[in-house]
Amino acid sequence: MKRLLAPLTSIRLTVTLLALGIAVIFFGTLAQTDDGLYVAQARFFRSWFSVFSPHDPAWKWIKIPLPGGYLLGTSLLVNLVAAHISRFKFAWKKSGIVMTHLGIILLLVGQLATDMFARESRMSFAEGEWRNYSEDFQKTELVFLSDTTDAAMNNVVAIPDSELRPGTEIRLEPLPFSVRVKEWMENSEPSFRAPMMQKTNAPQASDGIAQNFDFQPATETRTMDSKNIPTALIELVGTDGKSLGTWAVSDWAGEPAMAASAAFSWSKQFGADLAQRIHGLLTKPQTVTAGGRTFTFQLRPMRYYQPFTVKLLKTTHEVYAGTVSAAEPDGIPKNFQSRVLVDHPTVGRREVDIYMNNPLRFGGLTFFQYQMGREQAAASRGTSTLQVVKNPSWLTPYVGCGMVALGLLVQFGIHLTAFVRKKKTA
Amino acid sequence: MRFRSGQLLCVPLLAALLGCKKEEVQVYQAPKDMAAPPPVMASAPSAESAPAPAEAGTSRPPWNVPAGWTEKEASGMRIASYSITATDGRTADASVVPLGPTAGSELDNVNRWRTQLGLGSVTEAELAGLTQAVPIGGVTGKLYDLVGDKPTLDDKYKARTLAAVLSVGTATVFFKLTGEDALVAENKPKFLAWLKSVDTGDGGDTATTSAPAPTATAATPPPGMAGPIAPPPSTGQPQWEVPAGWKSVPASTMRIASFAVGEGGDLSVVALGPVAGGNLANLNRWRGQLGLSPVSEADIPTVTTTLNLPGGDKAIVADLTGEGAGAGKKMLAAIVSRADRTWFYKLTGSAALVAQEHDNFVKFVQSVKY
Repeated sequence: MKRLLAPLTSIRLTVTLLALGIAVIFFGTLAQTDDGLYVAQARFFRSWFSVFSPHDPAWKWIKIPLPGGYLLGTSLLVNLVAAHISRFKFAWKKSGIVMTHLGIILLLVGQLATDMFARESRMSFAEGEWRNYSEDFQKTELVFLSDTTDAAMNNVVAIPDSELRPGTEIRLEPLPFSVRVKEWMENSEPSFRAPMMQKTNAPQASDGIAQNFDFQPATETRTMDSKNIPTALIELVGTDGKSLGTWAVSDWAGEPAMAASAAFSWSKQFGADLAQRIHGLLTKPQTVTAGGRTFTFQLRPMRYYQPFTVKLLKTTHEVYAGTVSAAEPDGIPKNFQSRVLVDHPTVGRREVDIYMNNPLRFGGLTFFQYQMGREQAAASRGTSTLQVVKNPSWLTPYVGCGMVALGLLVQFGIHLTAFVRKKKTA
Repeated sequence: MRFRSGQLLCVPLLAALLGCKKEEVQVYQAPKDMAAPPPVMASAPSAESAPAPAEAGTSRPPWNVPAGWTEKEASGMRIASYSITATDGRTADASVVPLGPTAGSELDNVNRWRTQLGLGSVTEAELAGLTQAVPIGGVTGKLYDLVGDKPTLDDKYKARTLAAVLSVGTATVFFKLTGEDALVAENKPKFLAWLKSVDTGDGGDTATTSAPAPTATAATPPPGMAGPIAPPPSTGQPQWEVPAGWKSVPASTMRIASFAVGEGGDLSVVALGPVAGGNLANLNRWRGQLGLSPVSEADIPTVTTTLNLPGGDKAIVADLTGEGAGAGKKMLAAIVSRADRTWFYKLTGSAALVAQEHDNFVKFVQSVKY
C-alpha cells in the first residue's frame, strides 16, 4: 500500500502543484483582460486542462498548456490525503497538525462544493413591488406557459438554453408538440422590419414577432458590464408530425429591461410614440394552440422560484455631503440600502435592511445589495437590484480556517508546553 | 489509523461533486406574471397602447376606502387588501388583483369562484345569466354575485363572493369581496360605492382609456441607460386636404395614415425620426421593389424632382415606373425632411392609376400643415 501511495505522497508533488497553481492564477488573470471574468474563470479555473494563448495576432502562436483548477485542486487533495494515510500516525502530540490538515482538506472540498453548487442570480424590483423568484445573470430558458384551474397560476415547462442547440428536437411529455431548434444566436441584435421592407425580405419565421423583427447574430460579449442577449428560431411540431409554425424567441422580447433598452434606442431613432408602438409589437405574447390548450412561450432569463416573497418597501440612496456637482450630478455614493419585507407562509414575515456588508440570509440564500436606481417615469419610486447567492457550503471556509487556526494553536501549545517542561527538568 | 476511512471517502465524494451541474428541463406551477409596464419613453396613452395595470404592489389606485374596512398588507398577487370583521367575529375580505393577458377566461374564473363556494360549474350559456353590469369609476365592468348553497364557513355560515371584473386592454383587474354571506350582503352597497370611486382616468366609457393605475409606470432601465430622455416629438397628426376619391383606411403598424386610391392604389403616410435611413437608401429600396437598378448619391438630383411646399419645406419626389418584375406598376414617393421627423408619402398602384393621380398626389403633399 505504501509503495502504491509513494508517488502520491511526495512533497515534491505538493510543491509542483502549488507552483502550477501560481502559474494558472497568473495566466488566468491575464486572460481576463480579453476573455472577461466569466469566460476566464470557466476556461482556467473550472476546467481540468486549459491552454493559454494571447489574443494579440502577433503572439497568437504562443500556446501554453496548463492544468485546470479542478485538476490542481483534486491533485492537492489526493496528495494531502495520501500523505496522511502513509505518513501520519495519530498521536496526541500531533493532534494540531491533523486538525490543520483537516482544515485544509475542508477548504479544498468546500471550495469545490461552492463551485459545483453555488448559484448567483439577481432580484430586481421597484418600491412597493414583490418578487418570489430571482433571475440568472447569464442563463436563459425557453418557457411554455399554460393555464391551470387556478386563474392566478400557470403551468410552466422551462427548457434551459443549454438544450437549445441547432438541429435538436425536444419532446416533452407535458407539451402536445415538440420543439425543433432551427437556429441559436448566443448574442443577437433586433432590427425592426419597416412595413415597406416586408415585401422584399422574407421574415425569418412564419409567425409571431418575426413578422415585425429580424434578429441577426451579434458578437458575443465577454465583459462584466454587458451581457449576451440570445435569440432562437424554433419550429413547433404537433404530435401528428405536422408543423404548427416557426417563431423567433428572443431575450430582447422576454426580458422587460432588454425590451425597454431597445425601445429607448428606437425612441432616439424614430421618436417616442413610434418606439412605443414598436415596443408593443416586440413584447406581444406569442402563443400556439395544440391539443385543445393554448401555450404562451418566450425566452427569458432563467428563473429560480422561492417558497417566499420579498417585497421592496423603501430604498435609501445616500451620497457624501458636498459631492453633488454639475460635473458629478449623482455625487459620490455613501450608502445604498433596501428595506424589504420577507414573507414566508410558515416562517412568518419580517422587515430587514440590506446594505453593504449587511446581507440578508434567509431560506438558504444570501441577499446582497447590488444596484440601485430610480424609475424614469415615476422618479419618486426607487428601484433596487439584490444579488441572490445560493451557496450551501458557505460555512466551509469559516470552519476550515477556524480548524487551521485552532490546529496551529494546539500544535504550538503542545510544543511550548513540552519545551517549558523540558527546561524545568533541565 | 483512525482517520483513514474518513479520508478515503473524500475521493468518491469529489467524483460525485464533479458529476452534477447540468440544468434540466423543469415542469412546475408558478404565479402568473403581472402585465409588463410600458417602456421608459411612454408618452400619452393611445388606444393601441392602453397602459397596463400597475404591477402588484405598485402605488395603489385612488379610491375611497369604505368605512369599517381595515387595510391589510397586500401580498401575493394583490395590490390592495381589506378586512371586514363583524362584532360577532364573522369576517369578509376585499381584494384587488390585476392580471396580464393570461388571466384565464371569464368562465374559468367564475367557475373557480363557484367551486370555492361549494357550487357546481356553469356553462358559457349560463354565465350570461349571472353577469350584471357595474360602474367601476367611469367605466362599465361586470359583476358576479355568488352565494354558496350550504354552510361551508365553520360549518355554520354560508359564503358569498362579490366579484367585479374590469377589462383594460389586454389586462384584467379583479375586485373581490368574499366572506360570510350576511356580512358580504350587508357590505354590498359599500362594495358598489367603492367600485364607483375607483379613479379610471378620464372617465370615458371605453375599455381602452385608462387602467385604474394612476400613472403609467416605467420599467427599470438597464444599467448604462439611465439619464434624461428628450421629450418626444409632437405626436399630433398634421392637417391635410384629402383629394376627392381617396378613401381613408385603417393605418397599420408604422403608418400615420393610409388611403385607398381608385382601383387598387395605396397611399401611405409614414413619419420616422430625423435619422430615417437616408434618402438614397430609401430611394434604392423603392427602385428595387419596382425592378429598377440602384442609383448613386450623385444620381439623386437626376432621378428625382424637388417640390416647394408652403412654409419653406421642400419635398424630394421620385416618380418610378416599374420594369422587369415590376412592369406595369408605378410609384410616386415624396420625402419631406423636417427638423423633428422625416415624412414619407408613397402612392403605389398600376402605372395608369398612379399617372392619373399624379396631380392629386402633389396637391396632397402640398396641403399638409405640420
